[in-house]
Amino acid sequence: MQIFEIRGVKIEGVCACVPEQKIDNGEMLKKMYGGEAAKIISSTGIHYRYMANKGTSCGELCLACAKELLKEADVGKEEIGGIVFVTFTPDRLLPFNAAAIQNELGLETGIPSFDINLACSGYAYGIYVASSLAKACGKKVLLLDGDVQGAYLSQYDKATLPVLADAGSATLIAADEESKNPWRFTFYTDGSRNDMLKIPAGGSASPVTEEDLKYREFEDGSKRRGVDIYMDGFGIYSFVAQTVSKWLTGFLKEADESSESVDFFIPHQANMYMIRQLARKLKFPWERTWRSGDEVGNSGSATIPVTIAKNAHSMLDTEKENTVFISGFGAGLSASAGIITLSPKGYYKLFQYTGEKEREEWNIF
Amino acid sequence: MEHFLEFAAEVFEVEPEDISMDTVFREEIDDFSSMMGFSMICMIEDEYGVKISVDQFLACETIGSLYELAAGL
Repeated sequence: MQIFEIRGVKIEGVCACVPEQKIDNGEMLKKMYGGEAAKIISSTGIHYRYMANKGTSCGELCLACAKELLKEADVGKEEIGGIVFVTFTPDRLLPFNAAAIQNELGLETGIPSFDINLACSGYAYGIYVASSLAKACGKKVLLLDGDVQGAYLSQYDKATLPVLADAGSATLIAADEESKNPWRFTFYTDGSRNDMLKIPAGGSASPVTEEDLKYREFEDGSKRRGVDIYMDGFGIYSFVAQTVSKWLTGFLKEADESSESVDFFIPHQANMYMIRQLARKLKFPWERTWRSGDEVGNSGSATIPVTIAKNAHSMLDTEKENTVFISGFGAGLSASAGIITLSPKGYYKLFQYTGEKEREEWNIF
Repeated sequence: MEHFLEFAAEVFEVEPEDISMDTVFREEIDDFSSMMGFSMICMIEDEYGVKISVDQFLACETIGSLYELAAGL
């Protein structure tokens, strides 16, 4: 197992948002599946999901978070040394999202800015890359992580529709010589299973055809187009329950940590049953496992910053630097994990984006 | 057999004493879901080294019938 270690960095704040539409999963699924709806909800534990209005982009959601974060953390534009944007649903295929952020925030032109194309495993990658940049340049790096999965979501798919959601986030990472605690990361890739979670059409391997825009019916009664997200529910479950759980146990051991030495477990909010079983296998009590998926849904790699923004105020020990274990897993197949620290002095906030720019309008969680 | 009931209880998120080999899990487990079905298939492979198919799982009605598959009976 390769472990990537970095010291002398800290997180100054995590700000996240959910988009305009709050969807009551029970109500929505009842209309579609009748009595089966209750079963689907109890199966996933996801009661509400937030979806973006058509045309609200993940860049827009993340920008709102970044503006809020820079304002509240009182960060000057010249203090930002780079932008990293994690998403698999960029505003456009060309150009990449991070450039628009540089312009919208009025940041200097002499900074690196780029996107990382990853799905649910993206956040720990983003933290590692952004903290490496921060350390190398001695400045602060803005990590944006968000997806509007709704743009690729069939309204008739039993595996994806009940769980997937949209969200945006911004995390500010700073070089800090006082931060002595090492952050450790590890990554896992198994491309042999890349068919289990994918959007079949639309890439250069399969440019969109007319056929791809028509709904096809599948064995389980789901209907999808070629441009919609496909997920093999059992395949992904077994990846997490059998592969990721053992791999994470090995990482904790290798890093000489345990569910006792680490304060909190912050898993990607795939669905509530899955993370409850994962926490149990890793011996993290449910009380020390942070969650948000039951209330806002599974927004891809942004679920971890959303969960941090939602729980930090009520959960962090205010007397010390808290050690947290983050892990994301999904399309690729890919997984990432990090043992990092969160400070009670950081700025954390989760809000609902309404499309209004004035923050007074934002409904604070 | 006792171990199997303990593992099954974890999968179904109930207490081991609340289930038996005769439990008809789809009807008697309150929140039984497809996610638990996935979990059961994984558990049988992890703990008993037996790979069962989704179809084999679907053919089982009681916890005892799952045990028979796991134990190769």
